[in-house]
Amino acid sequence: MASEQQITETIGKIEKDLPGFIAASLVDLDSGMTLGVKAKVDSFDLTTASAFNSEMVKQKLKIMEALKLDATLEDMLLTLSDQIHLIKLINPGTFLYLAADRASSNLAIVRNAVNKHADALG
Amino acid sequence: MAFLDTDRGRLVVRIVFDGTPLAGKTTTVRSLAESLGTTVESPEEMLGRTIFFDWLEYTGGLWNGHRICCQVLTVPGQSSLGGRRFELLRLADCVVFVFDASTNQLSRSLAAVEELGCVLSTFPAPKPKVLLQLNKRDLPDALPREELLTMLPPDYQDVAETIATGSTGIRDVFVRAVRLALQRAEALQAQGDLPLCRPALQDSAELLASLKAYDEGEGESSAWSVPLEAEAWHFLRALESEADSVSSHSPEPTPEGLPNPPLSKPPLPPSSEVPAGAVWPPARGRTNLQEFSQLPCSMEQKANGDWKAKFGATWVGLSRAQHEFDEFDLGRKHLLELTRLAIQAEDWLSPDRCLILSPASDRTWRLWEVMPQTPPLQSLLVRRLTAPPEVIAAALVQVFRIYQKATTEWPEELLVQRLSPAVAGLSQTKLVYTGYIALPQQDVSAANEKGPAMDQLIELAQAYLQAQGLDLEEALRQLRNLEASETELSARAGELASHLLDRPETTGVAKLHGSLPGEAEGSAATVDTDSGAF
Repeated sequence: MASEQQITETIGKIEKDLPGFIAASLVDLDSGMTLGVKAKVDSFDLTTASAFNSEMVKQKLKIMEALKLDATLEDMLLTLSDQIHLIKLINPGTFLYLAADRASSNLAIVRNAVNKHADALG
Repeated sequence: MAFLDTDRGRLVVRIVFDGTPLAGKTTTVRSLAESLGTTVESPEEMLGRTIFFDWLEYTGGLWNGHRICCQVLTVPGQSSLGGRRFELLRLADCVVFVFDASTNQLSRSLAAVEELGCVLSTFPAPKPKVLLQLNKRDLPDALPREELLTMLPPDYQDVAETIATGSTGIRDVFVRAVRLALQRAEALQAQGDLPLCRPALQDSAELLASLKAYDEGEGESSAWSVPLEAEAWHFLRALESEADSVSSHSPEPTPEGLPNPPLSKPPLPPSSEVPAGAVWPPARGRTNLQEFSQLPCSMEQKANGDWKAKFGATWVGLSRAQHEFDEFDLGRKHLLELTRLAIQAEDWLSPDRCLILSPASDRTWRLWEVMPQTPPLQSLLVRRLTAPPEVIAAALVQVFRIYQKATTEWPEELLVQRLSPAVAGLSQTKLVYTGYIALPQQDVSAANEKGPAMDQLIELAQAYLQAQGLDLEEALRQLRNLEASETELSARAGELASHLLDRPETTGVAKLHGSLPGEAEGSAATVDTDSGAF
């Protein structure tokens, strides 16, 4: 498990590689609590966003279980009118939540930047 | 102890940092505060040492749709303050034991771990979870983790390594502690012991005042260690179970006191073999169906031709006379219509209520509304109470608080019966409706002959207080003062306590019971007004 400092540094690297980075957090899936956060925009409430996104991930996992899908959830992409949100499962208990500005970035860039550094969060 | 504060939509959990003197408890909590962007309150410190506690509050995360409010505390480490430490540990959902891992403190730390085990063994189940925080890992004489693990009791192998002065590993410890606290909250909920109310101790000032009262012997330990509201909640739950067991054994009598004879052949009970698309909600409904269809079923027909099915002592099903169909498709059309209405009324229905279209015979289908058996408030409030007056008063105020909210929000167009203590039951987090969902243009709300819903509950409560023969006035007055100073909702509860105290007219118990819907002479709830016994 990465330390809080390592988590913050890794998110910093993602920020560097990702134009339009808004905020990101590493989140404990069970509780929705953040293990590390970094936000470029102060008004972005990462604590709340992380908590509610943990519920979304849990629901998706329940759906997969109900459908008896023998597969692993890797990530979830959400496209808003002006933002892209990416949820990347790091291990069964934690996920990275990231928000980026849609005008400055795209799904491929976001995914690429996150995948490049995700291992350091495990 | 965890509290599900439904008024504010949050779960309150308490994490207590324990450990030997100078192990790093306060340093840990201060590092955590910095990491979380909040502050620590340390009342009345002496020369930098904690003599009462450190207090940090943080809201984040989500548990079953409720925000998680973490009250993080430290205990004073000095052995002379062991009494305060013990009382603070009693509040914990998770104890983080800060273990000074340096060699020269080893024997002291191990003895303290053993002592903690003894203390926790005296607590009722489910006991607080324990996480061991191996601190000062940067010291040159820090023992290796593996070596330490061999010395620790087998129960205490959940460990995390930290350097509190450098904030290393602190946030991880906190999140793991929250996870353990949530496990305890779940265990409390599973056994029906999770109090659904705001905690009595809401901030550091209240905790400090309580600890000082404890020190000075002004209040007994139990007066604050087991907060009044939690006790009241447990008391209500016990009543609920009692009413449940009574109602499950007593068939509803006709006015003559005899069971209703069936008007037609009983339908088959809902079966777990129903086809896809015949159950709502699809996943939870089918799980529930699987559960109650295995229980013994008794079927009873009402005078109007409706059917009522009881599954064991825990589930009840209702089916209207006209809800028997020759064709599955026609039945499914009605199921979909009812589903739309149920979704609109879901705030007032048990989350476990399900709609099922199931074979009634070889050739027909019947539409059922099945829900967990929830005793109505009326049945709770006509039973004899044996708790202390202040607990009864607190329990009543809680019921009133929930009910008052319902009076303004009850969706009359969606539910057949108007709000009354006879049709509203208390189910964990909310008031739930126990009757039929209304069908448009078919069901008209029953006329409310007894006046506004709130008055009905007040009359019931008043009669009930009289029947106890207990001096509740003082307890209600205290509650009124307490509640009036709290949130807006609590202040309304205070007003209700005032209403109970100040209502001028006195209502005869026997007369009141005779006029209540669903009450009849000879039923289990008749009252002996002389002895006050039910």
